[in-house]
Amino acid sequence: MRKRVSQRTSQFNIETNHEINIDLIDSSPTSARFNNSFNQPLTLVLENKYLSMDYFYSKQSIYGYLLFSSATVVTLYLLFTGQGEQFNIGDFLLRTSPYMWALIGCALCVALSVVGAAWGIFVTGSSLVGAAVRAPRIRTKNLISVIFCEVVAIYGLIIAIVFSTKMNGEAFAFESSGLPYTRQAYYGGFALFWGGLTVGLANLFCGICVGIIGSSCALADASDPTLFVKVLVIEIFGSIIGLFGLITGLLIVGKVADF
Amino acid sequence: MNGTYFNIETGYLEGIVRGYKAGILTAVNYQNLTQCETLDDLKLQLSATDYGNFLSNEPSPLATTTISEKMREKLVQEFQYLRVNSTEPTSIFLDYITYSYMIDNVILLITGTLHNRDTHELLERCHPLGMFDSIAALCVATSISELYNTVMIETPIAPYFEKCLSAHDLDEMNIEIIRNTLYKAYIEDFYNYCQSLGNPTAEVMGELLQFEADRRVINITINSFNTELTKDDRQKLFPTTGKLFPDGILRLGRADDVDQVKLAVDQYSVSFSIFEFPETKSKQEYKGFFDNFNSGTDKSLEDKFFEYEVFLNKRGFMQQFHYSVFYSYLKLKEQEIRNIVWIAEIENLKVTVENVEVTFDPSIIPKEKGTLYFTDEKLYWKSEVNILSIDFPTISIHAIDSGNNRVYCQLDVNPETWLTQESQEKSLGLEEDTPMVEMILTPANVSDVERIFIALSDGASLNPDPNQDDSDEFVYNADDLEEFSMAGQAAIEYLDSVFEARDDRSTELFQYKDNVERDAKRFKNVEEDSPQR
Repeated sequence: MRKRVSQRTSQFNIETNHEINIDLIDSSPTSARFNNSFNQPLTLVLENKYLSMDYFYSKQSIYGYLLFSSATVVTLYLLFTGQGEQFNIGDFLLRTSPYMWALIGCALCVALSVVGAAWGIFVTGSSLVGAAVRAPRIRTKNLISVIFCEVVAIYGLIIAIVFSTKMNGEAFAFESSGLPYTRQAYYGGFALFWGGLTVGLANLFCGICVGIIGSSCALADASDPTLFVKVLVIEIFGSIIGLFGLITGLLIVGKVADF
Repeated sequence: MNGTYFNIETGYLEGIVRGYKAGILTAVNYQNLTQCETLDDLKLQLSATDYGNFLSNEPSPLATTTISEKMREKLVQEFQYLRVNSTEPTSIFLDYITYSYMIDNVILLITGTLHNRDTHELLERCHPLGMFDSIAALCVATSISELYNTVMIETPIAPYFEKCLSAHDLDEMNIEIIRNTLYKAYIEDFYNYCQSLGNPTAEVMGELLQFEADRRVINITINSFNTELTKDDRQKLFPTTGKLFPDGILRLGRADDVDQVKLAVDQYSVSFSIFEFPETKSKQEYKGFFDNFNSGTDKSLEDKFFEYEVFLNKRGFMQQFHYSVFYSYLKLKEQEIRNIVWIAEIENLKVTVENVEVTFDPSIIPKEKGTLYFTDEKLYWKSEVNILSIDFPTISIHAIDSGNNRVYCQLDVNPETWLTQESQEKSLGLEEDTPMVEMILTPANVSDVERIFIALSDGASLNPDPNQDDSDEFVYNADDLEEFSMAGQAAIEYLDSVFEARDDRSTELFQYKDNVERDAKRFKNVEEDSPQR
């Protein structure tokens, strides 16, 4: 018997499938009246899934164990074979090309924005299609929710275009400086990477947010036309989140010189 | 987080079901419907709503059964559309909803078979949502294990059946126990499934199913008073998922009368503050309905359950991205069908006779004065305390006792179980081998005797008894009595002879007995046949 028990009884949950007796006499306010008829204890078989051992053998935990142990093995191998200095994050950052960072930033910016837009559109769209079956009048009005989601992808695209204009192939430094790339190039690469991630994530969540509200908006409009504008206001607030990302991205890229 | 994934599979269907829900009749619609005077007006009013012209192909003298059938058909069509368009989690959820109808159908068929009813007639009565392939085979089973092994094992409700395999004989009591055991298993299973779906489905459905469980617990408790069901057995029938679990159902399991039930339930005042038990313990089907009809205020327990259920179902629509809307929609729509049928039955009232004294023999209900209402299908009698609904086919004989200015009726019902069973069995419960109930209607006004008699004759001719082929000689068509005032005397004399004949135990009654014996033989044959299969 799998049973959800109330807070009061769950303190008896020490082990799974453990039989316990709960005496109900004290817990009832009118016990005086029922005292005679309630002398027999209630026997419950309780089972709490969070305390069961299954939790430690789930698929996710096994992946976690594998990852953790393999990382440990590699680290220890490097350490005990005298190659410990290869584990050098600063060196890694200096030696990787700024173009890689910048292009990953552009890619993330577009990809995450498009995922956000697509996500929002299907959340809105499926509800809109369903609700429009019985209330066809809503379909044109509610296209605005789809447009709000679509805008998010356009934000990402704009930023990615702006980012890509910064790269001109001038990042390689003179040998005498001791570093493979110029200072501006390092800054540019990291700025575009993190800027792209910021814009991408902002647009992803903006798209989901607008999509969910747009779906509610379609359903609300279908059942009561006066609700459309009210829900739309909230939707606009949601769509501003994407704009925040856009502004941040533009500010970041403003300080980046061509590299 | 549910909103991010829910619409992948179910967004479209949720939009559809909310669209359906928007078509549910509003207070204004009901206002218009109650203003109607005939069923054709009702049809006209309904065609202006979401129902459209669903009755347009029906011939003009509409019966309330036709209306309810057509409405149910429409609901089932909508549900089937949702079902075929759904994918994994939604389809399982929708299947779970149909299981309760399956249980009802199974019980209906078992009960019907027990009472030796025609299989086809029973299958027609089954709810279309609860049909499964081998359902007709249920009629041949004689014991619960046979039932399980031959038919039920292939159905989705087989796991629920496993819990009641210990009951061997199929009799009234055991069927009731089986039904409740099945429901208990079903509700618990459905509840656990909903909990596994996570919030907000778990939350909204949890509330609905907890209420459903509690309603069953309270109903079982109240209905089991003064029956053979022991308290331990009763306790076993209680679903353990409700809000009343565990403390409340323990109390209810030991309750002896309605006061103790009230006391136990009152503890849960947050959700059950709506329960104020009526003074009288009568819980007839139509109590609240007729109370409102006469602008009374007192509502029966059942009505309060319905009201609270509707409240919960309506509230389910306030949240998005959960599966409960499908369940809630079905329940709301069923309530709407019930409402419309009630309204239709009121409009269908042919004759109303006030101030009629009704005496029963054996006196299951004390002698009281009340009002008689005749519809096309039923006869209602309402006094201050009681509501009775009697199907016309159950009235086997009606006659005027001209000496005492009263109308005599014989009802083909078992006086012991008649009033305690639920509506479904009430209309089925024609136990031929038990004594019948005699009902004597004495109107205060002498001229009403004829009116009652004509109404009864009309009703009998509109509702021929499906079981008795040769019962025509008891029935007078309305045509025969067209000019009753003139030809009346002759008819009354004839009826007097029928009435007398009953006392003398002469021809008519023996003919009736012959029928009984023949039916009994048929029943035996069925019993002998079935073990061979």
